[in-house]
Amino acid sequence: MMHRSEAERNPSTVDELLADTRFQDWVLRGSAAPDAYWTAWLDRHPGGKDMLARAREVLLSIRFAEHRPHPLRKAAARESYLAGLAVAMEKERRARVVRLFRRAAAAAAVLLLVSTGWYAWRNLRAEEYATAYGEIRRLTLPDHTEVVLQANSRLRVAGKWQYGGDRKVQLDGEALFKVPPIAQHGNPAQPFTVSAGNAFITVLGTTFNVRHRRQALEVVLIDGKVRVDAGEKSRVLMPGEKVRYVKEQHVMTVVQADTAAVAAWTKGQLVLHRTTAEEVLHYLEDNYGYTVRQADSSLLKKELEGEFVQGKPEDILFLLSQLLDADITVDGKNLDLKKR
Amino acid sequence: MEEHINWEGVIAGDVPSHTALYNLYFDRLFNYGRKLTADESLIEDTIQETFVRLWADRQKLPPAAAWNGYIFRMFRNALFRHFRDAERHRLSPDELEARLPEFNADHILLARESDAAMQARLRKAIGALSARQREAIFLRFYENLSYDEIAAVMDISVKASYKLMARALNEMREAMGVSLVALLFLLRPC
Repeated sequence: MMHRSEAERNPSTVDELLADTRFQDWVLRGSAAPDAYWTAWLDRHPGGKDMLARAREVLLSIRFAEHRPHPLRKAAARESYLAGLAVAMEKERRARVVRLFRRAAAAAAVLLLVSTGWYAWRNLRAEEYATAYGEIRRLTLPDHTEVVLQANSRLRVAGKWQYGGDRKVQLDGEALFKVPPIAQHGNPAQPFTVSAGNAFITVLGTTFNVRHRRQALEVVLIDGKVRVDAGEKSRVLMPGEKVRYVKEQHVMTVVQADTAAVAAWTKGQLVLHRTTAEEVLHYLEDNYGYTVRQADSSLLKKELEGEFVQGKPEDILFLLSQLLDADITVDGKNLDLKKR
Repeated sequence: MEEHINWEGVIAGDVPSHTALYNLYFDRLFNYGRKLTADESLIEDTIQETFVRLWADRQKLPPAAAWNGYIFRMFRNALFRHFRDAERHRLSPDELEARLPEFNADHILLARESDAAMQARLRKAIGALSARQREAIFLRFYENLSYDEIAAVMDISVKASYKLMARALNEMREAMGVSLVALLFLLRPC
């Protein structure tokens, strides 16, 4: 909504020139030569040349003092802005949880009505649990095995466990399993097995993390005992060991793993220990559906250290940009990383 | 300048985009704030608050074309609010209003080319301008804000922003013209 008086459309005095936005813009552009508009204006205003010069002189005589922040103060201000942002994010996260809780409470009332029938029906069919990008789900299987299912993962559970069938689950993605000891449960003829790709993990009461991503299987044993069978390879794991199997290469390697770091994701945390930026980006791709479109290869190889208590993707991206000293541009689900 | 900012990213809550916006505006808002008050901590706190609020209200932002004025406006309002909050306990309500941040005449400089007599006259004219007139001139000629934006920032109508500016410039022109009265008469064709 522009307001223009008659005089502004056709200025004919120094005062009117000074107030004319077109005149101001012309002077601010810095060229002394009149443009087409002001050439035409001069034709209409004989003797206007001096007027134009005069008005121009007034405008150009205006200067302003420049104040620049001290670099140290500026850096400190930036820190407190970032801290303020982190607090705002945390508040939003909490608000979201409260909203979800309210929705859940409302849903619970409805659920109660149908749950009895559903419970009976569930036990007879195979269950499939799938998580969306960014979603982590906790499940308790009929044998009291606790499962934390990572984002973008799928777990298929064969039905009829309590009727004597094998305890078999099929995993695509990543999950942490806490299987109660068989002795406690009763039936040694019912081993718990996880199949992931063409590999099997056979369990004898234990806690372990399985990651089946990018054609590679990684199993980390946290406690207890498991056997991993893949192709012709087989290996019994000791607590704290990580086995990695890459299908195409038919190679199985065992290394020591930091079990707390491996399971950190189940608590919404991200622990980086000699983790390359590339691994963090894979994590974002696998669990949140991002795609890395562009990244300097020198950035990808950089090893990162640190514990991050909030595993939200935007926080991880932010942290990553700070640790790498890189600009990360997010375009929808595409990421571009550039060195600063 | 604004084309480097991923506006959609800011609205979607993308932190790097938001940080880029902060980086782009920090020096500008600092410079502007410093014209209104010498209290640099107050300015820094206000910029921080402005951007944290911008983050929290990101879904309620106006169309991208209006952001420049909007950010200046948020900053200016927050600066006054912070000032009032900080000084409330020290000053009486009347004193508080009398000492509100305002655009100091010292921040307007004069081109060195003009002669000493002219400079003195202009300096006097600038001193005679109201702080709001000086602020409007700064926003227009230093920050290149449009009249619409100035109106939004200073919380006046667009028409009033034109008037404020026209009067200010005319007063300066008059100050410059004293020795050239004859010429100015000649220059006025109507």
